[in-house]
Amino acid sequence: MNRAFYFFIFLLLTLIVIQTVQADDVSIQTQNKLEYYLDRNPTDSGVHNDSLRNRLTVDMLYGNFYAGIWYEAFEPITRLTTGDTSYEGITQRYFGWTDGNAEIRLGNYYANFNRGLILRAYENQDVQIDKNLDGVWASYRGNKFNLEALNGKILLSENILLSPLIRTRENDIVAFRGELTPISNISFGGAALRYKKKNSFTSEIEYTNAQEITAGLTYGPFDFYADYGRQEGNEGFYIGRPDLKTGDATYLTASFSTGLFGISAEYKNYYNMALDFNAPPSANHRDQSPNALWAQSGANDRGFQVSLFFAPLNNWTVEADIAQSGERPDEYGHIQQKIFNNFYEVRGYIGRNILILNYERTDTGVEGLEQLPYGEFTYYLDDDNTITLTGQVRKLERIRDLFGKDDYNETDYSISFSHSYFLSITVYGGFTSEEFQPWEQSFPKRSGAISLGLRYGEHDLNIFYGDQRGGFVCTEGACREVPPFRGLKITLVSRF
Amino acid sequence: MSKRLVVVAIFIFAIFMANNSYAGKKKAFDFTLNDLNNNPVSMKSLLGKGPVYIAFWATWCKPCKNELEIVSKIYDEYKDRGFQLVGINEDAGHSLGKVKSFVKSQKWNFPILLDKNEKVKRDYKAFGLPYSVILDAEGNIIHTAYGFRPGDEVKVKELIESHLLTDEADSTAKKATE
Repeated sequence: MNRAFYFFIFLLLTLIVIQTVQADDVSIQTQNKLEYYLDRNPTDSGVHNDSLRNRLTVDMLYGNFYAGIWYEAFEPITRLTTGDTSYEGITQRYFGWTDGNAEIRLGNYYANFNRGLILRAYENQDVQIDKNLDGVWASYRGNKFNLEALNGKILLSENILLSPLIRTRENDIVAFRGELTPISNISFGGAALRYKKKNSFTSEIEYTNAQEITAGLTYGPFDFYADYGRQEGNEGFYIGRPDLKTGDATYLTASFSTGLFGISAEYKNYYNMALDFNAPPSANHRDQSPNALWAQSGANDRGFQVSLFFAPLNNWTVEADIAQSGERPDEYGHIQQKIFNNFYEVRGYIGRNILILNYERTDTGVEGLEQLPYGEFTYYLDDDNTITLTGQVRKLERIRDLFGKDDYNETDYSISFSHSYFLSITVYGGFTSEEFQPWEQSFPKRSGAISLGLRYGEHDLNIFYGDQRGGFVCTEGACREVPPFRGLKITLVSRF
Repeated sequence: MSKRLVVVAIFIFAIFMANNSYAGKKKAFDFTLNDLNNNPVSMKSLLGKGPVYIAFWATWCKPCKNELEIVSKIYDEYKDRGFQLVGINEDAGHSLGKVKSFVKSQKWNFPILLDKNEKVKRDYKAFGLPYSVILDAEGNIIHTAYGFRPGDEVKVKELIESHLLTDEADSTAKKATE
């Protein structure tokens, strides 16, 4: 008997339990997300031409107690990664108690300390990151202070570059965080962490210790926040300095906010802080760090971002983001990647119709200059029905070699009809200045797609058919190259 | 082959459960989060007055901004009758620095709470944004939705109106949340 059989039995038992115990003091919530991809244009021999990802979560509340379980099945298109990355089974289970102020949890959990300088164990499917912990987590929230403590084994990719989806759970984290708020506008915090790791080459046990201190102040319309972290024990692999075993990170923000406008400024300075389990802020509108090509958050760079939100008229907002960052120099004279990223947006209402215009300009130095003008207009046909038009041009001035540049352009547009809550239909079109073949898969100059969205009660169904251009996806400082897709995608999210 | 069986099982399960939706009350997870002025706000403090609309959002999420701007107009219309709107911000560590300056410039007059470690998002299984949860005055989940498109406010308004408290229901809800 295979695992699918046991899964089927598990579903039936869950169903029976839900139907049996539904009562006023017991609450059970279930959610299922099913994603199915059928690629009509696979080129590699032996490649799966379809992909399935399913996540079923069941949570139960009983008084102050709670328990939950995740059952997942994933069979990726193998072109996305190397090795057999299919899995199926219970991926998370947890049990806990909370009274609103105190909480203790056994099993799987995620954790984030402050701005993630020393600890950010998180999940983001867009960039295929899942760093959940398995162990015990506890927190207490008092009037003037917060405490948090945890101990667990973290889920990590065996090889972040070659096989990000093959994961192991061997290494331990013990961590503690505290925050004191003597008065509501001042706070001080501190955190400490110890990471026990088995060296995959020598099999020796190695330790990394990290500490962090924070301070926050609110004074009228002004807000200030400072965060400093350091680590000892993690080698400088990502910066070409394996002999270096220490690193530190500084992150500062200041903001001024009024009813007319708000302005915020961020400064970051990280050196050798690429830990297995952290993700310092990228301080960049596209959430990209200079060295994030490693599918790892940037943790060896320095830079700033200034953001302005200005609302000169009722229902109209102007946003401007200016960010600049670069890798910290090393002693070997490697080329240091830089990112200059500017973003401007005007957003507002004409009657009740919504207009969004923005422009983004990114100069990465090594790869070239990218410009992205974008427009979106939503028009109400009546109270229930709307039409949305979008258009975007991606203009790339590529650096091909030491002496030459060339231009590459993409144009995309869409028209979408939506009927309140129930139905949406979108037609996409696009063309590029040249045919390209990333991932050994051809993608035509002209492309098109259609998408249908249906919502019924607590069920959301989306069916997409057509071409979708690949690209570089960055969220939370980590990036991943997404291959182009030509075929059928079905997504069904159900909540019971 | 086994994957196909899983898919079939999920569909059977989904259809069966769809027919049994709302068989029991679904209590919302309790939470306490700080607002933009560092004052703690608990979910329980929002209950007992009328329906509660919880919108999970972030500054980088375009449809989230549409949702909050549009639902805030419903809030203006029904807040005197007990309707509560709360935005739970999910910028977390990465773009948290710009949240307050953005919100203040929008002149939103409903509470914005900061889910700094994203725990509330995970407790509510908000695996994508925007994600909204509507609670009745007793803290039971009456509706959830991924995504927001202009025009959806018609349905939102219907749901809110159908869960506004009458005087009699008001006292019952207050007792239930005490």
